[in-house]
Amino acid sequence: MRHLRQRYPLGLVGGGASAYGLSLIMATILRLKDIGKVWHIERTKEEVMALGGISLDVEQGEFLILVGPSGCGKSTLLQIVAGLEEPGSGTLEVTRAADGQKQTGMVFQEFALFLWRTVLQNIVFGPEARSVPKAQREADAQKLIDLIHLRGFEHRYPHELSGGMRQRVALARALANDPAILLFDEPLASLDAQTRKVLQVELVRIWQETKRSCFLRLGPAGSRKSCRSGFQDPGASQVAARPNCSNTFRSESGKRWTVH
Amino acid sequence: MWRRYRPLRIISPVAFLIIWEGVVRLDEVNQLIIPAPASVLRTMIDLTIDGRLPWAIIASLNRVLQGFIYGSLLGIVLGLLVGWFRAVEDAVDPLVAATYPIPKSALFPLFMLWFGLGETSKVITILIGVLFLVLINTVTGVKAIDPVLLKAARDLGANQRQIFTKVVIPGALPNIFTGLRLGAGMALILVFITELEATKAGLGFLLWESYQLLLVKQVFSCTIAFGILGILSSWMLQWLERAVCPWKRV
Repeated sequence: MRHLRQRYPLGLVGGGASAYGLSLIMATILRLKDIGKVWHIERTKEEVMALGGISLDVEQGEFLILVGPSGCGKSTLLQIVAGLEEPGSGTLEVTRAADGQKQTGMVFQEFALFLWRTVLQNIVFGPEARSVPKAQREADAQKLIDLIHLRGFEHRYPHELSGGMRQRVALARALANDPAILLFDEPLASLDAQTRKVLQVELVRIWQETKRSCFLRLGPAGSRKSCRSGFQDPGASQVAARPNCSNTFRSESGKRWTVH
Repeated sequence: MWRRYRPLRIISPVAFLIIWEGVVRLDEVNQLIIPAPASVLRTMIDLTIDGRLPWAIIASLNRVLQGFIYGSLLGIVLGLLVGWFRAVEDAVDPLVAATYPIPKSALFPLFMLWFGLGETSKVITILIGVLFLVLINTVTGVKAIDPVLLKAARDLGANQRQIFTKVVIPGALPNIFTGLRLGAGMALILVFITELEATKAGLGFLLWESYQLLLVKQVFSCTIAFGILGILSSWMLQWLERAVCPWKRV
């Protein structure tokens, strides 16, 4: 028996970089067409629709925020975009780099740093896997260490860093592969309020400096808490904002779609 | 709040030895059964000078090291494979589950029948004892790796082989060392048991012979030598763990 349980609505709103007065050449680098995903729960023989009918174009340099109550499929969508999960239906097109390399880089919620690698070794993991010569990957990593302001900490192990520092290492590690799209899975959720504020600013700065598309997933708690520092919650499940900016960006002015 | 009384760490064992020595000298206990610490020390020195204790230690260490090294290498390799590959797990798991509960010392008589009374049967008994402990802890280590780390490695472009060498192996190392420490203890237990039978060399043999001749001071000497071997092996493993896992605060 097929039993499709409808889940919560999912909201997503994006703002083109041009809306912020940045002059970037706009090019679609990610195209989602009618993406759907159904989870089969073995124990109860239930089928739960996690995602349905998601279509979206992401342009270069865009900053998108995924919001919605827990269980609405934010995480699933992010995993699909990252290529860590197969979409159940629909198509996903990611513009490939010239060398055919993967174009997304994920920053995980709990940072997911390799505990046995120093800051530097964590950052070079991606290039190392792609067999970039050692001298080159370490020189590139040094630039990233400057970008995330962790000069002097390169030989520390993750357990010797604060939560905010770990988060920045995770970001640098994702950037080391030079992806066009950065994916963030609740990037601020496991940080304290103070660090969260600092990192919101950092995130926007790094986004502006590196000109990547950013795709953030914020949990219900994350988006609510963020209201005070610039995120505005229009009451429903859609929130659009630029972190740390009083000039909040309402859903109707951006790209917006909802499922159900 | 909790004050440390560090000097007590020295004072307490020294006081214990002094009281022991005093009680024995006052002739309160039968010196045949509990000799004074000073006389045990003298016996140990004598045994060292006439070469019997060093030779016994060398013979036992030879068996322990062979069994331990082969057993742990096999245990680590098998454990990584069982932990990582479902097919290997399904093939090996029932065998391990069926044989693990058997006391390894109970296998010694069989091994003597199969491999003879010489060194081989002793080394294999130790090998099996170490193998199981290292294997089980290695499997636990592989399974305990946070799945998000595997996802992260995949997201960063690592292939299956790279995930295995760069994530699974280092991730399992702390548990592998737990297995090695347990295995070292097991190796010492098993070397003693295997030396009770069919040998004329080894610390276990010397201890047992001394007991049968009621040379209690020699029994004590051998017991202490076993203790020292235990401490040394755990220090060596700690040093190795610090060298191999510098990220861990041991």
